[in-house]
Amino acid sequence: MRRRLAILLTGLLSVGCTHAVHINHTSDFVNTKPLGECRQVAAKTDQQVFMGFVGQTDYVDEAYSKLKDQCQSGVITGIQTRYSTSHNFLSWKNEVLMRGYCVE
Amino acid sequence: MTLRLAALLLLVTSGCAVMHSTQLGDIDADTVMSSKPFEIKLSAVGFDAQEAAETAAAIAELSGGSGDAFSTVGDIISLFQTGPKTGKPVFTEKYSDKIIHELRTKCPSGRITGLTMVRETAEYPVVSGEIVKVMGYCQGAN
Amino acid sequence: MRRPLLILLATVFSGCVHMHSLSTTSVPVDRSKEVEAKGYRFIFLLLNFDNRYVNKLTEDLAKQCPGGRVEGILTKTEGITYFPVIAHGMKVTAKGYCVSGS
Repeated sequence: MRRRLAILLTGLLSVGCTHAVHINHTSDFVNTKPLGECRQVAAKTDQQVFMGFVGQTDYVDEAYSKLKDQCQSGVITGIQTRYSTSHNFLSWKNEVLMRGYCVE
Repeated sequence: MTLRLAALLLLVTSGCAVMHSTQLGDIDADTVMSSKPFEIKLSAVGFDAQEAAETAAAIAELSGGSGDAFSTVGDIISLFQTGPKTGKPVFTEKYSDKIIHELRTKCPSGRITGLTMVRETAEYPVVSGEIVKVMGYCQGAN
Repeated sequence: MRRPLLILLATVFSGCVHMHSLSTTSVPVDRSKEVEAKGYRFIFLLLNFDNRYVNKLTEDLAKQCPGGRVEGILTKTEGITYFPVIAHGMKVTAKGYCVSGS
């Protein structure tokens, strides 16, 4: 029993929180200026899921909306989209990060 | 000795490249045919704790002991790593965030075309290399 | 006994395809010229040491559209199981439209 507990504690302490990156996508570049002169914009949203019970993926649309709000009078180009999951005890957190260049 | 040799052979030959997704961006044909492609590769070490526990249990049993403790630990650890996975779990999800900066370094003009984005895994027993690869062409660079 | 076995073998040998990923870029108005490129790797005993077969897709598409732009690219990554464990295939298909550069 003690041996199992010791192994379990060692295992849990050495493993830590794990994550998985599912997709990392980069969109096209539509540029009229060098990238160094463009403003970087970013938006990040997440969704907590318990035991797989989830009925929507609105957090993706929220990230997209937040990104667009940061560059209302320009073109957002070179958008990097990262979709990842952070694992936890019987639950996980889905995360979307969108970053791009605002060309005004 | 035979067991060690078999384990070593398994380790050496089991490295596998697993493709998860591929995406292509729009292509400017002239730029692609006249430029050399650039490549950005970012990776993190993936670690499957449950596979490690199962391997430890198997080794314990082969050595004449009991692998129950390791199996139980593996099952409990898997409860703490619930959720969708692509490849083996990694300890940070931010390893691929540098891509946007790397692209600026590779092509400061920003005139990038012909992007190919690949999400792949270099699989080994228990550990893996979780790789995000971006290839592209920079207009004006030869 | 023979018939169920034959049915089972037929099912096993018929191949099973599943989608790994799918993506598309903005589709252009001019869709008169379609271009396509494929990358394929046969995998024996699950041993595959690199994914270089996808590297040539962009160049293959560009060669079919000299002086123009390839847009509206649909990229599909498929996994094919010919026989479990022993024989598999990975196929990446990219299809798009060649739009003139003017």
